[in-house]
Amino acid sequence: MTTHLYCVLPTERHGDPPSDLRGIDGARVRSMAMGGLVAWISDAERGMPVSIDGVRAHDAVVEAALETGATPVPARFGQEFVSDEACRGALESYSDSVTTLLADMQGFVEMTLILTPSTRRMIRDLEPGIPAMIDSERSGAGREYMESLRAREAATGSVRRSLDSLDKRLTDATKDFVRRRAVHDQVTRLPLRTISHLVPRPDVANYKAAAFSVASTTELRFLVIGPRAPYSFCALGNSDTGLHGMKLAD
Amino acid sequence: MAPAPDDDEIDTEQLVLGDLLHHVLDKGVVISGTVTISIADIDLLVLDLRLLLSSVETAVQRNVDRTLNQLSAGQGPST
Repeated sequence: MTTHLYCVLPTERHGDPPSDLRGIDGARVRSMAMGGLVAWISDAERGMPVSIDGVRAHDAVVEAALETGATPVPARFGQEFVSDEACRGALESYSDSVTTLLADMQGFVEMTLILTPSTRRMIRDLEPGIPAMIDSERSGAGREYMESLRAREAATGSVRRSLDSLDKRLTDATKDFVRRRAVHDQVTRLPLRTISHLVPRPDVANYKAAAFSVASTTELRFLVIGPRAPYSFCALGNSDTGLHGMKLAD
Repeated sequence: MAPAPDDDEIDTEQLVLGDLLHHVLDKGVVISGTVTISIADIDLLVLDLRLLLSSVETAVQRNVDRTLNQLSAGQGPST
């Protein structure tokens, strides 16, 4: 068995996890106090596979921590240690950074905006690849193919400009409630954009209202996700970006 | 189940799940299976056996690179 780390919380504002809280594979979540913080951990199988259920279970524990009223610093999924003591040692090796980050995050939550093309048809039109319906045996097929690629490139460029415009309108509308902003790496070649904002807890309702005051376009719409733990603001001063939760171990 | 019409909005649930995976995972996670997140039947995210959360394009490129490396080393591509 190994020890799986979900998140850390400030000790002074937090007690034990709810007794019925279960983590990955139904494991009981327990706390481990150290210094000025407490870690929420559970047992886990060594080399635990990634699964959607596992990711959801990890996030559910972090969400439970957020519901205590304190703001947890979430760990990235898969932070696995050979024992509780090894987990404690890893946290102690980043003690100053974790303590500072934890203090900085108190009173804040993360809100996420996902900007996306509006319909399935638009995504299909933007999908790179060999255009269908071109008969390669027919005269002029090569030119038709190149023209279709140019048309697709133009459509992609148009959507990207619309994304920039919608991004700017959302940024302007929400700026009074945003303390920090993180734009996630593009993980697809399609024009989806994920923007995370660090927002004071009392301003969540105002933030949402401001975001929803911005109209979607025929091309694009957006989703507002949150409040959630600040996964996108967890840099510990090591080489990691901190965009996917705190990373202590490889 | 019949496929959704092209003019339908993209499933919010799929977008939210994709976002969750992206927030919680990153490169370096060891996994034992393959999970593909698709939107509108287009594979957007692939979790494959080689420690990564990446775009399909990146995953395909890595496969191509690996095969080329194996060929240049005089090995046949693995199956």
